[in-house]
Amino acid sequence: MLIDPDAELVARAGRGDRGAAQALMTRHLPKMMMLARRMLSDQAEAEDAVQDAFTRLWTHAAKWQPGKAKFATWLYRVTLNQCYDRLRRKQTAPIDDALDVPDPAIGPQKALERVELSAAIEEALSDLPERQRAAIVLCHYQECGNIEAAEILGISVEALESLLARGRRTLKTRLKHLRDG
Amino acid sequence: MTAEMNDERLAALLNAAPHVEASADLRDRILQSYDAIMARPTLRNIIVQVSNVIWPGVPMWQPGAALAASLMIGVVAGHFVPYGNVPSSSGDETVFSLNGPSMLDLGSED
Repeated sequence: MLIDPDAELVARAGRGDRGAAQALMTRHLPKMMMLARRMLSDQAEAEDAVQDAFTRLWTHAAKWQPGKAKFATWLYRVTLNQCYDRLRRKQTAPIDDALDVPDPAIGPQKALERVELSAAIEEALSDLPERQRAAIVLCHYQECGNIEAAEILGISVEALESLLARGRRTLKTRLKHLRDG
Repeated sequence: MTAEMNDERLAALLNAAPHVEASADLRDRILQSYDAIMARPTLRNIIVQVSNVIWPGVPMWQPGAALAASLMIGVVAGHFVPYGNVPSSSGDETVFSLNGPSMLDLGSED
């Protein structure tokens, strides 16, 4: 039997326990935001996608049956589907929207370089096809193993590895002019 | 700069992407959506609230299973336990006569 660390919290949230809902949010929100932000390259869109994913979670929490699938896998899949919906509905936001404010703690030249580096990485990621981008984000930023990432994407591990290989190859080509900060 | 970038260098570059944080406003909105959904008067929510009152702190399947088990016991008992006169285990039959003197009529003045 699969032991799901979230099962108890989901069941309690489904019964109206606000504290459990808050604990679930605290546990998963950072990774969901990371996933949505990397997929959508837009903070506001990412926040909307994550909020909609949580709304789906609250609606289904009472019906959740542990043992069928790992809860986190289901939740990240829901988040990813929200991102796909948004990507299909609109063009990706201009990359200028995704730029960070320079960090004043480092020198202005260094800060500017870092912002440009971030922008170039975001642009290279956003230029990848959706599935390749999702594979890279899940395996690199979410630190998912290949099996879990494949489950989230609903594909085989071999297909995931193929997506990863193609995505990495494209990124290496796109980013080869950069120096990491 | 080498022409061919290896996986480690790519990973280092990807790590240079900006850190992402959820805003406090988003956290508030998420919890507000939870409150709104839990406050909806759906059949499920009503059942959940009633089961919380009757049997607090357990998953919904437990009171459901208890109810189903009690129904099952009732149905089985109703089906297998005979209704009406039950023959005695010794095979003797008790005969009641409506015309005979009542054994309970102890206060008769005849």
